[in-house]
Amino acid sequence: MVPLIWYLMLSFALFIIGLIGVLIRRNVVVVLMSIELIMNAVNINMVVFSRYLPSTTGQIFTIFSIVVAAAEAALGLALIVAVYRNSKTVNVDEISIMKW
Amino acid sequence: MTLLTFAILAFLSVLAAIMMITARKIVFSVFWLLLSFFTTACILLLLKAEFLAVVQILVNAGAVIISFLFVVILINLREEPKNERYHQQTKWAVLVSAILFVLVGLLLVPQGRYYTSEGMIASELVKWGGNSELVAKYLFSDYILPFEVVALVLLVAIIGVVVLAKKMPPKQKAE
Repeated sequence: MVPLIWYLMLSFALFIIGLIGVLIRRNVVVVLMSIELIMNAVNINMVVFSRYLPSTTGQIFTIFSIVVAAAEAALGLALIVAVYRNSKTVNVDEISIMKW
Repeated sequence: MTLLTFAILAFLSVLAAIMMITARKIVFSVFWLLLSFFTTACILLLLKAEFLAVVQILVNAGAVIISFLFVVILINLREEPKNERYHQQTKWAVLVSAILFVLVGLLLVPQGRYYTSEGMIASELVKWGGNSELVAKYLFSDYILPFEVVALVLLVAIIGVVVLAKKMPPKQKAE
């Protein structure tokens, strides 16, 4: 039987790796993929607690979370395609027209 | 045995995540993310959430990865040199994240001993015949309103994606 804390540490490690990915990569596609990784880590966390506290609610909310993650990925990718069509780049530093 | 399975899955999962954020080409990143999704599905199986494991493979490892691959095909794909791949703040970002990991780990580990055994929803599982039935029972009774709201979110996302990805007509482009 795996102790709860191992699952929590695994989920947190995935979260931190996703955070590092968001912070260090310049390619906006990889940044979006790192956000997916973070969502995934959160999903693991919710399922773990739904297993260890005897409650199904965590799994229900994981379904909602997966749906929102999929919608977010689709919208983000559409934004990337739109930005690429206009400025021919996917570099985060070069997409800074909103910065004053 | 479960412990060994968990250790292998955790190792693969973390390895895939690290390789994903350091891969040279975006396509390799996408495939490492695929491996990460699959190991996550296996971990969900280990947690006896079979329905969610299947959903994870269908939605994340299927649909999301395919759309990422399509975008990688659409945009200009070239190998990035190392100084172009990483931000200037890389060192600080890794350092601060590692410190955060250690700090939260120090907070979490002493709490871990309170939950050492798995809670059992066995009686409910037997009553409803399995994990999918149990999830469906809650999803379509107690959580029917959030379910509908999430369906609406998907609809809005579909419309938004179509509007965003549509090619502008040339007249509008000229302005």
